[in-house]
Amino acid sequence: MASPWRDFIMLESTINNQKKIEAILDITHHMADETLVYVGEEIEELTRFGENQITQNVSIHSTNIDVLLAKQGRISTTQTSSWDLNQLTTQLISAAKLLEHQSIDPDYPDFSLYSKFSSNARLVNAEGKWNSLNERDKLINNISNSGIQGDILSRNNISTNSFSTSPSSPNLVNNNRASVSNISEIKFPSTAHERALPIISHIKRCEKNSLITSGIISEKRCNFYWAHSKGGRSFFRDDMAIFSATVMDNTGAAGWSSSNELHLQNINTTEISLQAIEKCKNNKYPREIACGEYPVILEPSAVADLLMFLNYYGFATQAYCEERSPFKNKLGEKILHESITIIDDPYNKLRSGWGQDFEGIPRENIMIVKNGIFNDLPLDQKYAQKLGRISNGHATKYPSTIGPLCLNLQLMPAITNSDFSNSSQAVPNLTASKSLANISSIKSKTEHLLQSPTASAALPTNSSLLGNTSFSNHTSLHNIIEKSDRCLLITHLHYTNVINPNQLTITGTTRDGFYWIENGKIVYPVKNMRFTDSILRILNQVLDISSDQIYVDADGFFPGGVIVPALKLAGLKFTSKTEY
Amino acid sequence: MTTINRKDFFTYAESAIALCKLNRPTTSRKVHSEFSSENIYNNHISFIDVRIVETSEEILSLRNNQLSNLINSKSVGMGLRVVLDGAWGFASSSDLSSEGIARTVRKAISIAKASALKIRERARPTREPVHIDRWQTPYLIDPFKIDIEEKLKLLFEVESILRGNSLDTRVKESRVHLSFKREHQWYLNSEGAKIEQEIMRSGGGMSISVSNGKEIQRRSFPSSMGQYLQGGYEIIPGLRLLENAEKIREEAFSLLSAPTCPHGERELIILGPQLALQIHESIGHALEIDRVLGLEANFAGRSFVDLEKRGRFRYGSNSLNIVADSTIPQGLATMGYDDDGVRPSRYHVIKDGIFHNYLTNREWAHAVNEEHSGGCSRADGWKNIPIVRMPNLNLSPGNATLDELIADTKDGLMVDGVKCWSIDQYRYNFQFGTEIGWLIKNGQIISVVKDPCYSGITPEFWGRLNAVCNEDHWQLWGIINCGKGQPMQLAEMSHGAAPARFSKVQIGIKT
Repeated sequence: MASPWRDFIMLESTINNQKKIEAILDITHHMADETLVYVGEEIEELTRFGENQITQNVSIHSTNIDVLLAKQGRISTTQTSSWDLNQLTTQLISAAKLLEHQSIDPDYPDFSLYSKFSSNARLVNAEGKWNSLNERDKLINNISNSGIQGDILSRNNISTNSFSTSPSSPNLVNNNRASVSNISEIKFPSTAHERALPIISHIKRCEKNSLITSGIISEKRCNFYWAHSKGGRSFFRDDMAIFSATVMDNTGAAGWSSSNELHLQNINTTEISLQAIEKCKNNKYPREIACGEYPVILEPSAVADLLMFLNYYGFATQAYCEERSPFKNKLGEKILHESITIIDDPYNKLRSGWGQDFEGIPRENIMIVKNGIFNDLPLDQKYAQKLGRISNGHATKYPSTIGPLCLNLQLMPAITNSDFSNSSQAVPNLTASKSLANISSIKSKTEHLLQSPTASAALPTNSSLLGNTSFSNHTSLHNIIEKSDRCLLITHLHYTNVINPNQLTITGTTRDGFYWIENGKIVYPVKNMRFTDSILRILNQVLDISSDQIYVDADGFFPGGVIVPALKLAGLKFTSKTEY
Repeated sequence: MTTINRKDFFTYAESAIALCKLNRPTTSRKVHSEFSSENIYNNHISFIDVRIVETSEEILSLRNNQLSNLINSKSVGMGLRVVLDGAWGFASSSDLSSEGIARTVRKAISIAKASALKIRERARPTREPVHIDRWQTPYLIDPFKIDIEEKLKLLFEVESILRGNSLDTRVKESRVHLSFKREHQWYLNSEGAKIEQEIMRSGGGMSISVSNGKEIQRRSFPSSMGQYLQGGYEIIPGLRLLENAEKIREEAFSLLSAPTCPHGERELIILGPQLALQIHESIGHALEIDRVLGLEANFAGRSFVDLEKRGRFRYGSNSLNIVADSTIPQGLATMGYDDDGVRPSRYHVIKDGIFHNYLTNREWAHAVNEEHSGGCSRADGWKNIPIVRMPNLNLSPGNATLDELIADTKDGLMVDGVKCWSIDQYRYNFQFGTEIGWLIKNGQIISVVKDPCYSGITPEFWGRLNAVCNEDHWQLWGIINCGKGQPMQLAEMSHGAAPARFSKVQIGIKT
């Protein structure tokens, strides 16, 4: 049983942190014209297992306090992990002294714009003070109980992008992913004992099958606070839970499955366990195939790798404006296959993000790629001005070396005009995400198709299959496999990296489930291989795309994660073999 | 800035240990009594260690001739491990108040109890000498006492040379940075160890991206992410940023008109920074004992170097000698003691091409029948649990000069500058891309090539090592972004290397 004091402590600490932030603003009042305080508080509880035992078990509670001082366009920053006001004051005085020696930043953003935005999505405390968590949760619950989905509410209001007279008192942005769930059911964190139980069940299952397993159960909560001396106040809570399992046998055959959810209680650990075991069993005695180009079906985890590199190399506005992007000067042009639409949606039900950016601007949904056409870019104030537009709320932490970025990307099937509202900036009606099956259902269907090796050796094919492209409205990974003949299925990818940024050529290897498909069935496992191919080339040859999408976390290599479907591509070039 | 003093370190750490053991006095009666009331762990805890770490960091970056980042950060906290009923538990927090320490201790104990539900055997950390000591990086000039203006002046001067003619529109991005980090650690354990360490590292670098309107090319110096060494501000002039800025710009421009690296088998000469990464990825990680045992299989992967290979497996040619050395001056993993409180030593992991030693810590050394740890336990700051981390791993120098090596090469490619790295989950099949390549024909460099890359299978590749340059060319290359573990931890280490040549390497990409 969870101890009730945990939530109480959490609540207290949240309120206390807000008070401490106000104290910092008071301290810096005479040091600078403006002060921005950004605090990230992170609580992570993670249990690792390996070789059928619990091997690492940790609890981490950390805080990062980031203070920006600004005076006539000159800035100075300082960061600390300690709330000790004496230490903080010392650091702030040092930072303030540095202000005099800085040069003026011509791109210094206007943080006071925050108060000019108005949205019903913001739950403003009438007294103009920080709302306590329980007050806010009540408000969110009221919204949930009213039948209005939190993400739709936010999206509809923010997409109007209206400026209105600001209240003189500080606002509070409440963009809490928990709003989608029933707050009263959320328990964070589980105890170490509670995390151990599904691991023990999973290990026992593996042991019965003479298998070895490794993986993690993790719960993480991040509380973000943003406060500006001219009135802006914002709080965002980000929760995430992961269960990931790799299963191996004594021949080296491996299977993997994973699930990311807001909270641990939403993860069906038994189902993930069974999927990883099944994948492993069916990966025994893999066959070697020749290097060359093959049609491939990528499960969502593999697609995620492509989208993340596409984002950081292709959709980064700073690189675009400096002509360093492979998509330079291509806004309005076709860059990907017409079946692909990519949006940045901070309000997605599967995985929402902070409702504002680091400059205090509400984050808009933006359509980066519309049916293969390069449609829009993430903007902060600096790049909005350069492009003669208004920021769409994608600023990264100022001062930024990377410029504005998408942090909540979703790759989805092509959309029709009826999917749009009247505004060109509005997001489509996300029927795909509403009808989502989770990864469990996608993978469980896949598992049943695994059979003993019967087929003959594969021959490389080419992209002539493109002419047969057809997309239906409701396609699952299972459907894609059923419709396929003579192609490869990739569970996920390992150590992908960009080897040529001009063509966005990436390399990496397959792992933990690589299969040959014939006549709509997985007929035998294949030895892992290295691929080297251009993301631009392969995403211009899409044969099928699932309407189901799931959230895939970036595993720490990129911030955040992405929402992705399964894809069938006409060709992926495999360039070398490995023994494992 | 205020810093935690010696007395505070003792107070925090000893109170944490006292709270765990209950049979020692504590500085906080209130917290002590709170734990006493639970009084259920008394006889079950066999090991405790506490690390208090205070990290100060300063990073100054210029981008396109503007100050793009000025990070001045300080992080202080405590990480605590206990072994209870034979199982490990770990908790960490930046809250160093009595209540905060109590919460962390309570958490670590409850976690260890949960770990004990599923262990195959009780933890048996190796028996090690108990040290009471202080160690610090030798340095001449404290970089945190150098005025910001002086650092910025250097950066702007380098940037000015790097960009060259301000009207040259081919320059799309230039970056220059300096970075300084001081880590003040205090380690105590229930065996009596009391170790204080101060580790200082300094570094910097530059890069330039240029375009001809069709493609973008990048060159960096001294290495892709910069060069870092343990030491003070005296490291910075040694980086020779001013002296190399123009050369790097011109090399970048030359890539815009260079042919693409051909595809096929050739001799390959790898220069220092890239060779350091090759050692890191295909030797260092492959020999980490946790990977060998399968404990990292779910995330970073395993290793092809299984438990049968020790002492008999030919990892490479006779020219391959790799030494683990966390005692070498200026290495980023150089330390008085690792995060298990173990004093590092210097030993061969590969000698004359034969694999000899895994990289171990106190927790897992027994798995390979070692009586003592290999001194490879490190944690990222205070908040992470110590895990197996490669030390400085150095390729022993050979006899040739670089000129001799080139003159002795009939049909080859020489590469420099890290651009892309990828290796499979067994550290067996790899592919690397570099910033620049030079084709060599009959002992002469004949042209620059763009987008060079090469691939191979680890033991085959190292088996083709046929020459290593001499100690005049040998230097330590610092890596500061080595990610491993869950939650992800970053570690820093150096790899000493001189340019080396490999025969019959697959280069380029088949189009």
